[in-house]
Formats: sequence, structure tokens, C-alpha cells
Amino acid sequence: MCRALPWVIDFVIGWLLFLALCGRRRLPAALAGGTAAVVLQLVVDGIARHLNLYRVHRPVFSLLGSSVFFTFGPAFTMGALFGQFLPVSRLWQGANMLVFAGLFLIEEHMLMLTGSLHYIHWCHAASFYVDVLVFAFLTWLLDGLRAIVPAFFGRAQKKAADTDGWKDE
Amino acid sequence: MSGGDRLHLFVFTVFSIGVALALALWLLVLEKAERERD
Repeated sequence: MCRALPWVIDFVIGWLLFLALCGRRRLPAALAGGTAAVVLQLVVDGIARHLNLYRVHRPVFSLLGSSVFFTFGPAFTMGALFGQFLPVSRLWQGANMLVFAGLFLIEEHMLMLTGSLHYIHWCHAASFYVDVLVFAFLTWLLDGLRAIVPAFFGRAQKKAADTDGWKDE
Repeated sequence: MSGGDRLHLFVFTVFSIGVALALALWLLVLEKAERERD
């Protein structure tokens, strides 16, 4: 029972945070970010499970080896907030990736301490590296979507040159 | 559930709320920076 509850607690906290911060006018961005994050989480965790890198214990309800409470909790809500708050500046985008990856790593470590997650052939450095790559891909994907439909994100890119370098700070 | 399990869960919950608050703070900083930029 103890190993199952952390997934439910994470689900509740993720949704409370999302409901507190989501802006109604940027809901399409949230939906795009959340959906992309869910797909990426299922693919990455599915591959990791197949390769026996780490194991999820007591997922309550399992979806492709992941806990449904994690997939539609923190993975969806954090992806949604990532999409809604995606900065235009490249510098802030880089910082954003590192902050999200770092906070996910802390949460993952706490899931390990409760016994809900177990590393087999895995380590924190690898986890952080994969998280950064996932958030880099999400940034690329959502930034591309923003260039096509800027109205979804509530703020448009001012001009192409703004996103091509670091000089916009 | 033993007392140790309850303590683990309590610590997990407190730290998870801490992570959520840290993320909220970061997103507010991001939003402020973007508004100033606009």
C-alpha cells in the first residue's frame, strides 16, 4: 500500500499545481504540451522497462509498464505547464529545460526512497541527461507549433531573429 | 501500514509539495521575464 500511494499523491499535487497556474486563454498550448509529454513519457519508460533499466512498483493501474497516475498526473500536467509557459528567448528556454529536468530528478529520487521506483541498470546522471533531452525535444516541438499557430500560446514570436540567437536578452 | 511507512509517506508528500512550489515559483519568474521582454 505504501508503495502505491506516492503515485496517487503525485497525481493530486500535479493537478492542483496545474489548476492553480493554467491560464484559460492558453489551453491549446497546455493540451499540446501535455499530450506530447504523455507520449514521450510512455515511450521512454517503455524502452527503459524493455531494457530492464528501472522498474516501477505498485503502479495501482498500469499503462505500458508505467503508473497511470504518473502518466496522467505529473507527466501530463508538467508537460501542459511546460507548453503554456514556454519562453520565447533561447536563453530562458535552456534554463527552463534544466529546471524542469532537475525538479523531475528530485521527484524521481523521492519515488525511489519510498520504494515505488527501483533502479536496476540506471543512475541519476543518466536520468537527468534523458530528462534534458526530452525537454529539449518538447521545446523544439512546441516552439515549432507556436511558429505555426501563435494564437495557441497567447504570445507570438516578435520576429524570427529573436529566436535565432542569444542576443535578445 | 507501519509507523515507518507513514513517516516515509509524510516526508514524500512534504517534499513533493516543495518541488511543486519551486516549480510554481520558477514559472512565475519565467512569466515575469517574458512580460518585461514584451
